[in-house]
Amino acid sequence: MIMILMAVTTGLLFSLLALGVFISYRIFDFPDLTVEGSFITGASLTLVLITGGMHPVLATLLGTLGGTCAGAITGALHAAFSISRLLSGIIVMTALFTVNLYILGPGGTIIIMDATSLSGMAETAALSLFSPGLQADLDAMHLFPKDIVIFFSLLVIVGLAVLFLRRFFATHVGLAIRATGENDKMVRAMGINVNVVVVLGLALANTLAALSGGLWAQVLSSVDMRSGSGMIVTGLTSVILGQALFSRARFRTQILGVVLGAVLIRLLISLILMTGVPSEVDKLLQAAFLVLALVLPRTLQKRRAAQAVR
Amino acid sequence: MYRIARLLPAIAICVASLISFSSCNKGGDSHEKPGNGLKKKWNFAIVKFEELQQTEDTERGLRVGLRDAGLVEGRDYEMTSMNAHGDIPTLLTLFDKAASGNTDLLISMQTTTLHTAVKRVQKIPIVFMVVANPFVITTVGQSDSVHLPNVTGVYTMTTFDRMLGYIKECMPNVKKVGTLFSSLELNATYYKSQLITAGHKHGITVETMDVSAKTDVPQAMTALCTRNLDAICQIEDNLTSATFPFIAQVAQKFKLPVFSFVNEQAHTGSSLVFAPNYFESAREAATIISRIMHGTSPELIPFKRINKFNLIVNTTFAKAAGLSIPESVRAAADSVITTAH
Repeated sequence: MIMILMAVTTGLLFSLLALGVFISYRIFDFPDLTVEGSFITGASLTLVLITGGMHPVLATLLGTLGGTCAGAITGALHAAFSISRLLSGIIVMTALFTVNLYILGPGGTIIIMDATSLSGMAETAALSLFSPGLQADLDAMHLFPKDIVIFFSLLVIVGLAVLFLRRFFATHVGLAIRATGENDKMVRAMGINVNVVVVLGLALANTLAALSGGLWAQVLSSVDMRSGSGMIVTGLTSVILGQALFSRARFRTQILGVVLGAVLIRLLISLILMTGVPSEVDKLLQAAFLVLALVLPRTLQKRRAAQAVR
Repeated sequence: MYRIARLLPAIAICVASLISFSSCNKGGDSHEKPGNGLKKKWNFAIVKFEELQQTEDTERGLRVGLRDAGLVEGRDYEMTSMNAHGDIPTLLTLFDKAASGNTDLLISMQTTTLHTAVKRVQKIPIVFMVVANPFVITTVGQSDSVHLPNVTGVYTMTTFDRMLGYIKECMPNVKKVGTLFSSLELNATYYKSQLITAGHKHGITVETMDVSAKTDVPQAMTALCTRNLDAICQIEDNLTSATFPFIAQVAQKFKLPVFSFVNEQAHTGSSLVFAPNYFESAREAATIISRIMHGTSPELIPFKRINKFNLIVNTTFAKAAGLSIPESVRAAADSVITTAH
């Protein structure tokens, strides 16, 4: 049970990152590598501010703004100077390496004590929400009150993010962002400033990545320069899996699919870890599962189509 | 003409950067003559893979050791410190910069750094430290005295045997301990096998769980804790060191005492730490550096295994995990901490 809770919690944490990647990669068709840097920017800014005595909620919000700025710069580089999409992301990611180093300080690592972060707030909330008897019962089942509070808090945060995105992409600006990804020439012909749309879209994508980083760092109580490596892959995997599961769904459902994709990946990792498969082969199993998730829906679809023809 | 004019600012920036860079490289050229029988003033370059408490302690110990050897910074040597921040390509660049510049001696900290150093640098003497076992890098050498001509240093091989002895003393009925490890790190794989071997000797089963990314730590640690363990005996590697507070938190939830091998972890969740004394080992390394500066070839200086360890007990973390540290262990400890932070 604890493994499932931990997997879903971690999945929800990374679903925010995946939603960011979904906006840049799926909606914009923009392979934005900035997320590798903005994830750490969010994480490091948040922990630095918490270490400085700031309230964790405010620190998380300010840390998130760091990602917003990074995304906006990537968008501006592409829009204003016609730097290719991939390259503008690489440039900002490279620059963020130094920026993050300055934020983290000479050691390049920050370790905080749990009590000062959102994780500590969850602990306090758990103590007041759960009676000592219930806490003991949960402890016996290896279900920890603090983890349950973190899980529900994340559920609310991700739920709000999904609701916001669903509403946002139905607004005039949101539709302009979606249309820019499909056909920017047409959008330009309609008199919409595509440059502004690109900056706005990438700022939003990296805001989510930085928020994910800020929350992740507080759960882990630490951040260092290597915390962001592989984040683009983590996000893309969730997006692709979500897309495979909801390939024919409406856009609004696809957003939810990304969250489910992120959670499914984590559940798969837990499953592999629980079955006691040698840890050396777990990545191979993950890859095999992904292939299956991508191929199976298409194969079933083709089979159904063939049966319908008959 | 207009095009050239447009390029002028960029050219100016490049020229200014080159000038400032070259002036940086000349740093420390004081006119004071070297003392202590030295023929020249030496330029040392410390290269680290990433900054950890171990490297900080080592750098402090090194400076003290050099001072104790009668060497004066600024007069006898200049020391620059470079950090790759966990990035291998940056590490390669740092070595290339050091090898092509005016560096007289390279000080390599951590195994990954040494691994890269021996591949990139053949002519400059290399003195390594913060290394558990240099022989995991097969090209470095076969024994303490048979090794690459330009490489020497100190290593601090942890004695898992003694750690498991302490665990047995604290928990006489211990049957199974667990550890996370990163198979991507040479040291971690070596430590893991050493811990398993020591476990056989003490009749303790060692459960291991490989984590290749930080993102997998929460789930891997939870999965490990569900394997009916009696304790966590967390080996030292870069990935788990960086996430240790979380590892300790999960262990605490499962009421598992944590035993570990990094000094600072006694403040972040470990009940008992048995860790190399990096400060003292760096002081030993300073004597090696002094010998090289006075003309001894690194080839003639055997690697030195340092057997100085710190035993640190944190009674608060032990109590939280339901562990009672026996008086004999407390008495043997170099330090007994009674607070959580």
